[in-house]
Amino acid sequence: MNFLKVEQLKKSFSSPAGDSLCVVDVEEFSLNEAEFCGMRGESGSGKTTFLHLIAGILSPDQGMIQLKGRNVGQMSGSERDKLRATFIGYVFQSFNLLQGFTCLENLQIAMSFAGDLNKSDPRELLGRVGLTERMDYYPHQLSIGQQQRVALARALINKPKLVLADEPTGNLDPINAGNAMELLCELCRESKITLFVVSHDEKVIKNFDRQVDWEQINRPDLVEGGETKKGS
Amino acid sequence: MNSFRALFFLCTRGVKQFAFSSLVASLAIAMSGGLFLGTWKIKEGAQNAFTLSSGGFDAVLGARGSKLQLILNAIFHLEASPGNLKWEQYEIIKNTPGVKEAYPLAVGDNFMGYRLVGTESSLFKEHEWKKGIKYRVQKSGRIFSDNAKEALVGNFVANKLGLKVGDRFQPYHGLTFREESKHDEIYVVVGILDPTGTPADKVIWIPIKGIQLMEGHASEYASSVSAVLVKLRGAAGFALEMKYNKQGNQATFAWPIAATLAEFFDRLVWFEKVLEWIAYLVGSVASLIILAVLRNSMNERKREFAILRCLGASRRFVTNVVLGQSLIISLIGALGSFLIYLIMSGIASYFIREQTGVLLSPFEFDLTFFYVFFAIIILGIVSGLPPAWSAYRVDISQNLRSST
Repeated sequence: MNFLKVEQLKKSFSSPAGDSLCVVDVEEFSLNEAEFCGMRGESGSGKTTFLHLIAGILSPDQGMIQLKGRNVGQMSGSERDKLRATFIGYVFQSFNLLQGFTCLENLQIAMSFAGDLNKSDPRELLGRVGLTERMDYYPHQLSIGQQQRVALARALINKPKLVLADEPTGNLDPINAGNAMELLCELCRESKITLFVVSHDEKVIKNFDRQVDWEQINRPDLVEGGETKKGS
Repeated sequence: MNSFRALFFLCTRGVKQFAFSSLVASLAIAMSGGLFLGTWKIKEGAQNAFTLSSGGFDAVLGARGSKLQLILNAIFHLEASPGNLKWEQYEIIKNTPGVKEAYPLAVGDNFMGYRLVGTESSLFKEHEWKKGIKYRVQKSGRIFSDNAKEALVGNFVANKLGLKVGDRFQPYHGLTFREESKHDEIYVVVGILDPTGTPADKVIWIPIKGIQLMEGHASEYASSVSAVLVKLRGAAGFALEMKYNKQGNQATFAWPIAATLAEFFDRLVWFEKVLEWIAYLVGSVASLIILAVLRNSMNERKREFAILRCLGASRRFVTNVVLGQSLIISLIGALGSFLIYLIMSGIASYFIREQTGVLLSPFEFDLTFFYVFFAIIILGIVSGLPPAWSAYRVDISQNLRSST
């Protein structure tokens, strides 16, 4: 059984003109447990929407997303909340750290949503990403690279089974980008976490065992006045 | 950190983040609650205190005129005496069946602005100013002799003027202090009364003959009294009221004291209503301020809520963050309203004590405090509902995208 299985997944949004704009149309996609998969795709092509669908942040218009045998689309709102808290770690391009809280508090807040689950020690994990001396710093007091490391630690704090990383190096310089990716892979490998990284930057995923093109698995249709345009 | 702690943490941070506007909202709530409590409790407290301060008497007999003026003059030692009664009137009512006790009062002089009230020493020996409690004179003192120029000083006056046993003073003519109207007589302080929290604390008691025969007083003073304090037995009040107020035209029988005072307080209802409406108005403004504060903070916190939701926070959790924030604002407001009430009632009590000798008990526990407290909390939570609803509906995907 696949760790993640996506079939006939579709998601459309209304355009400002009132048209229905199909952003995600994936016939089949899967990930194996502990697999590292990198997906390239142009900016604005629907990759983030795809990740949001997998994480249960968005509901699909049709299709199925199965995570370890459980259909995300059929989960209730609170089940999806629980899924994000305990099963999925999310890394954003802009880090999305809570600005009014220290590094340690950012991790502790994320931990609070996972209930009694066996979690990592936030201090230890911050030490692991090289921020032992910066635990009580606020995000704005850290460099961009350090902020991304806090975000990585936060994504891993609840020992998730799947890490979704959306352009994780998009805001970093090449050196920091390399370091962040190295660290992310290392941490995921250690805990046998499935890692799914999407990026428009070829370099980010070049070392991944499996690399896919978003344009190949996604075939969005633009529906205008009842007509369907393939491949646009 | 468990989710409850995280919730508390996020709520307090929200308040801190918008500290100034949150403080303004809390202050508005505090003013509203304080004003409401103050208006209501001080009026109620004053009414109760005045009613209980009748010194153990049921009625006052005095010159023809207003019952209220008679009571204010004879019981509370306020305002001018409406006139005098013949001594015989005192003798008559004293010997009327149904009258348990009667004490004559004569006023007309002061010492440093505090009234001298002439009466008989039996008032202090026999009368119970409160059920089962007679007046007590402080150690080393005694009650005045009816035939001597001696004074028994109320506790409040003694403290204010620093009078002690053995001190001598010369009274001044009239009820207000004028330096040029000093009498020649010299009185000796023979005792200081224990505090009672009633108007008796606020006067200097001397023998009635002292006022009646004071040098410079008109000769008719010698055989008249300002009022008679009456304690009744059974239902004698009805008959006496009929006799003096309906059939006679010589005197007024102010009975029952509590009902007359209640009528007086009823006259102040409009004032109470105005303050009450002001409190409601300030309360409405306060709830609108809470709404504005939370709405503004919502606009800035949508991204934060989206991040929290992405980390696994439930809709209920982010809703509770907003409601918790409004709860904290209203809690601070509620505590502030008690503080404002304490200041208001402290000042009011001080002035009422200064003017009448009546002691209010504004700090005594009352269920109203609870009602007002919960009303404020509910008001705060209701004000937080619209922004909380907006937090509940926050679009995670949209708000996460807008940040990239």
